[in-house]
Amino acid sequence: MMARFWLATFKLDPPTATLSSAASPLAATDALGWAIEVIQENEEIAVLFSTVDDPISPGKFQCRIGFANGSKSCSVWRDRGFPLVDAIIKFDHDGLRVQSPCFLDSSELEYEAELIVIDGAMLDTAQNTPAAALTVSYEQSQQAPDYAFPATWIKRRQVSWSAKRDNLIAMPPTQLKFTMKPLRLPSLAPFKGGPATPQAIWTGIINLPNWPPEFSYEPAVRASRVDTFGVPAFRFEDVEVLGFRIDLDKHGVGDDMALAAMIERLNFHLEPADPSDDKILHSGGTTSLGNKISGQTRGAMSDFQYRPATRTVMLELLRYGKMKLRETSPPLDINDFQSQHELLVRILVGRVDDDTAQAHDPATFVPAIFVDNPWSKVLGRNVQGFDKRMADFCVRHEGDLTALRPDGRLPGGNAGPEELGRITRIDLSNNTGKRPSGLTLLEIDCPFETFEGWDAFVEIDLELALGTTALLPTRWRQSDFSEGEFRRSFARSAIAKTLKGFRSIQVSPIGGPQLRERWKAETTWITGTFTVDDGAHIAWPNGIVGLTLHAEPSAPDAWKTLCKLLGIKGKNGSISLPSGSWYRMRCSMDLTIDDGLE
Amino acid sequence: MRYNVLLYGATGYSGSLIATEGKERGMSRRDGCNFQMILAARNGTEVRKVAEENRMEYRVFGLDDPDEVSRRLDDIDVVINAAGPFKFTAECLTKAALKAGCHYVDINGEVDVYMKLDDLGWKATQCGVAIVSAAGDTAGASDILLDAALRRLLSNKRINKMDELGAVRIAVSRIMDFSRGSAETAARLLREQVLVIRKGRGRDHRGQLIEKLVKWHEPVGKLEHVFDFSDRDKCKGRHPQIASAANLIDTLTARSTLERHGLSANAIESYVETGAVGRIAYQLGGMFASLNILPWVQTLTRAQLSFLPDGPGPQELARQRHVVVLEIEDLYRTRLIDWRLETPNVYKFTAQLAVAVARRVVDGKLTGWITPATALNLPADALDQKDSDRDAVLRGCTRQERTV
Repeated sequence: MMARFWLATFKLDPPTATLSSAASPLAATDALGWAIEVIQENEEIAVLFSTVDDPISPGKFQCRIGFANGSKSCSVWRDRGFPLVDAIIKFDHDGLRVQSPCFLDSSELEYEAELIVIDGAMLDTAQNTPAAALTVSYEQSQQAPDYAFPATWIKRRQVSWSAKRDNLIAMPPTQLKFTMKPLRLPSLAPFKGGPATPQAIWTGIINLPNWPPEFSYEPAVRASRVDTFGVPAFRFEDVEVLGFRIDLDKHGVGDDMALAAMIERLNFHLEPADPSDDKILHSGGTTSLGNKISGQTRGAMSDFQYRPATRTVMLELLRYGKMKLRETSPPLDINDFQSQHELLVRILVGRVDDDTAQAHDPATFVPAIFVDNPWSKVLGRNVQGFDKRMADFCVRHEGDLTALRPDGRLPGGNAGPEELGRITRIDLSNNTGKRPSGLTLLEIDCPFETFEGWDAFVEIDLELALGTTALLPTRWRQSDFSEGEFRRSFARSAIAKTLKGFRSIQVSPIGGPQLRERWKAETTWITGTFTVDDGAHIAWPNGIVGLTLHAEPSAPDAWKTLCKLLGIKGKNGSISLPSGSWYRMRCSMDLTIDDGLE
Repeated sequence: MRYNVLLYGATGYSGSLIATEGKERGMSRRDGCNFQMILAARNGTEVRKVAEENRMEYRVFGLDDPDEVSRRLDDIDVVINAAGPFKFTAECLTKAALKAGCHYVDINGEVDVYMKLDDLGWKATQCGVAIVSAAGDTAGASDILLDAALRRLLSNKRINKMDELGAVRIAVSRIMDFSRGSAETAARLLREQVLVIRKGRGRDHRGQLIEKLVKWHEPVGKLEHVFDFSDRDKCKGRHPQIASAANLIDTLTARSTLERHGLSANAIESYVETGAVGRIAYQLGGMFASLNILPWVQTLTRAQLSFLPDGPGPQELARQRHVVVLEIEDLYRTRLIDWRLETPNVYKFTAQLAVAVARRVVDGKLTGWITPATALNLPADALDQKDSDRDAVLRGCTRQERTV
């Protein structure tokens, strides 16, 4: 793939911070120079902020933070070890503008702030001269949760990316004007507002390197998760849920294998330790008597597997009013918050042992999740095992579809958040600057103004709910459990636990197949506990909600599998959910990710 | 390089024997061996006494605070857990060992605990440490015997990798003098059903049905078999004894060992010599096993067990022998193996095994969930060597085989 690039190196005053961290990623005191590189391929633009070994004649870069406007490519960059965040980027002859959610002075995340504006002749080729070859490499590190202690450590593996650059032109280093707000997170120091003259500027064509990169022979190293991503304990306040219970027996085509495929990754521990065993099992290899037998799996845990506990899956639209850290993690403290919308598919799973009649350890697994907050996407994908994709949550406004801000407000608006039920369409994000994308995932027909009891919330007595689950058919009900292993005690425990506080189980690392293959030996479960506060409210409005699911080709596999389970053969299909099959809930809750040893 | 081996539960009967074994293997304070044994227990007075007897350092801590336990294991290379009941100690110590990055070895005999710990085997692989549960007699002895037998069959081409065997039966002779801890374990192992392994169907990671070895339960008393525990050099002819299937970890270690050798079997069962009267008592015990959950029954049981002595005295330890019999059949019920392993007294041999396994996991830098035989990795003919030539763990052991 070919793209054009603009690369400038700078010699700047070292920042005051002594160590590079997630909050001040460029603050490496040993850096001799810094660089900004803009890479543009058609409408997709990436901006990389790096440290560099020599600003005049650079050889090695290390991208410490960057931004990209292509939602998918941003994730691909991250898979490759470039810590990029989704942003709206404008880049032309007159300058560069990067807009992405950030923390300024206020305790609330700013969603429409311009992080950096660079004015100046950036692509003026009038006085340019052809330059000698520029051979530089990016020394990056892929990272994933440590497989033994995912809440405490992360693992880093060095990768080196070398790209061939053609049509190289050296531009005269003319002065550029930087406009920057006082950023708390992410900090771009030592870059600051005011004039700055680069040491050197190059432009040309870059051939984006293909997988695989040059992997270091050094083993992956451990780093503190807290230092990079903060303490894995979160507080979610003012959470609103619009939940849809989708009974696949009623709405689906009864494809249990497809449902099992949605949670296949949870059973990674059953994969043969030796790839040749896999061939024996799945290519017709047999024992001396013609039977296929299981070989040794990884570790000693071939005795159990996770299975979907019920054919009722949850499709939930959520708005998190305030997402906070539960412990201060500079530069953020416990009062700083951000918001987001979330669309997710939730499957209840249970652990089934070989020798027991009852499943146990109910937990929810989320195979598909869409959010509109890029920082949430980063955290979810990198360390929490959630395969988060960026999406546009749209409402009808003055006749047009408009994507809401993560806090539920209209773009540029200061009025209160829009009613959650007003969201009529959710699109998979394609280009952060062009919303909505038109890659529709879900349309919701929820004429809540006509619904009786839309706001008739009642407080849930969580303790009572534990005793009499029949009274509170929020997510799952006894009647949802048809298989013997999941009836009775499992169902009773699952219904109660999925209301008051529930276990979550995900699998890490998240990324493309190549990344997952590379990190296969380090695949791990990420377990967490959601604990709902007392005072949760629920409403069961009267009315029929229509859902139209689109089997968007660029959607994640799990979403397409859900469409398949619902018998959607063409581009889209609709289902209607009467009262009782959907609900509203308001609550606050905590999430704690653990190491699995507690 | 000197490795620190921490023995937790050093004040118990088995613990003190392991400490003595450690001393005999040169693991006392100033012995100059590569391994130094450090004793630990809840009771400071008691552990100090055992430590002084064996010239070892000691630590006093309980298992109530997991973080504290983990800190106590910071400088430890391998921890041996001899503190029963293992239901209350094994999981906590294993997790602490994983956090501290040290190997874990125990002499557990409780099947439930074993199955709980095996979930952590995967974590151990990732942490770069090994977990060896049930590294004592009888599971350790039967595992060594089975490992040697399978190696023999494979090297003689009587069977090949990927073959299916008919049955693997392990039988252990009656233990004459129980320690109080073992008696408590035996009481807990008494159920209405016993655990066996059968070839069954399960799903692989892709959800496809495959043949695999699965755990199965049979009612107490349903499975009985006749084994010859007698010394074949001294006794002419067969001297069969009735044995009843029992909840022994041996069944589970046997499955792991079979899988490690790339083999499968229709059935894996473990038996305990009961005799004519014993089998009736055993079946009655099984019938009333469900009453064990009643608090007053537990109290009564504990009260009765408290009258038992700590364990066999020095004379019994020196005199008593223990026997493990192994039978392997092919699919046509032709007996391929009929071996008998005679070991020293159960508790003495347990001490030998635990110390040897602990040293070996550190030396061999082993990782993951492994059985005692895997940890020891003895030569194929180790059981047939003279005492003077072979590994210290096997001293006093004799293997006999019946021609089949």
